[in-house]
Amino acid sequence: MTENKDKTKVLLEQLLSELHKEQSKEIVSTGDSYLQAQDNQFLGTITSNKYDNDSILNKYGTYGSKYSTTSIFNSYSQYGSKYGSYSINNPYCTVPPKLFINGKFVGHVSVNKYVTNQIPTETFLYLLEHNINALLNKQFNLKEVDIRSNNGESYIIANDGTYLGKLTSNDFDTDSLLNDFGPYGNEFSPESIFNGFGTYGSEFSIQSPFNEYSNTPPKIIVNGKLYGLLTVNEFVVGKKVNPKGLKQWIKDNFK
Amino acid sequence: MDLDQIIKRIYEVHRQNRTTEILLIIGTSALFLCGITCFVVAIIKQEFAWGAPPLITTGLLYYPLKEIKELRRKNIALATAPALISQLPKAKAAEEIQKLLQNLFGNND
Repeated sequence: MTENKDKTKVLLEQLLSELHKEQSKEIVSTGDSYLQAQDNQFLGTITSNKYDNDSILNKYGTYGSKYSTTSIFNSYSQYGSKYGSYSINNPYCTVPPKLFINGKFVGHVSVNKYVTNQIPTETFLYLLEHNINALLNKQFNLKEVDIRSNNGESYIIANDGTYLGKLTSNDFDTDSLLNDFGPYGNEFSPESIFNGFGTYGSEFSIQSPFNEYSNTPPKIIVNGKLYGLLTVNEFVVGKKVNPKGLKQWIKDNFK
Repeated sequence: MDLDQIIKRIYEVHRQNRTTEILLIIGTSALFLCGITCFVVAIIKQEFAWGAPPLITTGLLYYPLKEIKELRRKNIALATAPALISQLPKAKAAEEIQKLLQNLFGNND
C-alpha cells in the first residue's frame, strides 16, 4: 500500500508511529476511549491523533487500515463486513462492538436499530471523521439527515424531518426511490412517497408531495444543498419538481 | 529508539531522493538545451516558426523545477528529524514531526 507513496512521507510516518509507540509504553492507559468487539477484541482507541498506532483513525495501523482483520473499516472482516458476526455494518448483528468513552460504556455501534443503546454506525463514523470532540463528549444526537447533507448526498426529506429516500438511478440501492422493493420506493411502505395511503404519499396529507394545497411538501436535497420542493402545488414559491415525473427526473439527472 | 538506525534509514531515503533529483536535473537540462537549440536555429535560419518550441519547453521547465524544489524541502525535513528525536521529549518530537508532515504533504491523509 505504501509502495506508491512518497518515500520521505513513509519514513516520517514510520518515525512518528515509532515515537508514539515508545510514548504509549510510558503512559499508563487508564480511562481511555476505545471500541471493543463483543468477542473482547480491541478495535482501536478513539483519538484525534491519526498517527497513533492504536488509533482507529490511523489508516496504516492495525485498527484503522482497511486491510487489517481487526479493523471496522475492512469490509471483509467480521468487525466491518455486512455479514460479520460482530460487525458495525451488519443490520442483523445482535452483538455489535461496544463504545467506551473515558473507560465507561456508552453504547453499541451498529446499523441494527433494535440493539439496545444503539449509536448508529453512520453517526459514529461521521463524528469520528469530522467531530471527534463531540464523540468524546458523548454528543451522539446528530440526525441522519444532517450527516447525509454534510456528506453531500442527494435525497428527499419530508418537512417533519423524515428521510424519504435517495436520489439515484441505481434501483438496486436499498435507499433508492427507484427501488420498488426498498423502504422508499415500495408503494406499501409507510415511509414511501409512492404509498397513496401513507403520510408521505396521500393526496390529503400535508407532508405529501401529491397534496395540491400543501405548503409543507418534501424538500429535495442535491449534493447536500436544498434544490427545491417536491410538490404538485403550483402556488408554492421557488424551484419545484413534480412528483409525477420524479422517477424520470431521477433517471435523467442522477447516476 | 536507535538513533544510528534512524540516521541509516534517513540516509537511504536521501540517497534515493538524490538519484531522483539528478534524473530531474538531466531532464530539465535536456529540455532547456532543446529550447535553446531551436532558438538558435530560429535566429540562424531566420524562420520564426522555430521560435515556438522554445516557448513550449520553457513552459514545461516549470514542472521539473518545482519537483526539484520539493525534493530539497523534503531533504531538509528529513535532515532535521534525528535532531528532533534526540533533543526533544518524545511527545514534543512527535508533534514537531507531525507538523513537518503537514507542512510538506498537507492534511489529506
